[in-house]
Amino acid sequence: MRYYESLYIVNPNYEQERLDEVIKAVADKSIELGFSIINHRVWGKKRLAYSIEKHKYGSFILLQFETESITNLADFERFMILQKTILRNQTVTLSVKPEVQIEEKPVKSVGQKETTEDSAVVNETKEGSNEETNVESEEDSKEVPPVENEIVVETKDASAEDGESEEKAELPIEEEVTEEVHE
Amino acid sequence: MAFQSRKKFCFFKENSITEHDYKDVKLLKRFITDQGKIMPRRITGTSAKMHRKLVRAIKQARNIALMPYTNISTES
Repeated sequence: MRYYESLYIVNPNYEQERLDEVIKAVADKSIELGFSIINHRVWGKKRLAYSIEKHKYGSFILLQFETESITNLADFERFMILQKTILRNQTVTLSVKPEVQIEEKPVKSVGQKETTEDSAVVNETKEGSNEETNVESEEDSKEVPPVENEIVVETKDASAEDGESEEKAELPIEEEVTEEVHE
Repeated sequence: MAFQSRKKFCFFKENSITEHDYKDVKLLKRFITDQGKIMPRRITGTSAKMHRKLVRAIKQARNIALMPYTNISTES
């Protein structure tokens, strides 16, 4: 058995539902070709080093699987290229068997249940719900998985850099304006 | 004469890193220039074996748009 890792970029403008559809389509195809999937998870939305099809950002999805036949790999590669939703993909061999990463779904589900219960209580009381809803929204914002946290930090950095560059770009224009006024 | 250059060392052997992951962009960025070119091993001091693996990882990262081919177009 050989282990492979396929990283593919999906259009960043897609919502979660459509993203799930793309992931499901890839998973179905890989099962059809006889791959046994080890990991299949969303790596996150990242800024691309260069624009692909005029997209500056991309949703990265990681698929790790094992298979014996090489001919099926070529079919898989062809399938991935023909998908319009996938901007780019790359399959790489792995020397070591990858560890199975368990998603922290139970934490999410508990949080969702709590929020739904709270919202039910709020609906019953009807009055003074503004403050409680604010608290709920804050709690929801805190319950973010660690992987997404990293992405948020990176995107912030990128945006900060952009902001700086924009400021730098704007500065000379202001100077020009002041010179004109002096004249 | 009296001048002695600082001895170069392989970063990966010092830190006992055997495999290069193309997804670890933070590490790979140490070995490219501001323009995005791969630095030669006469400057970085990496061993020949590790440098071959490093180059492969950087090129894989470039293909999947995690690292730039060049930074010239983005600066202008």
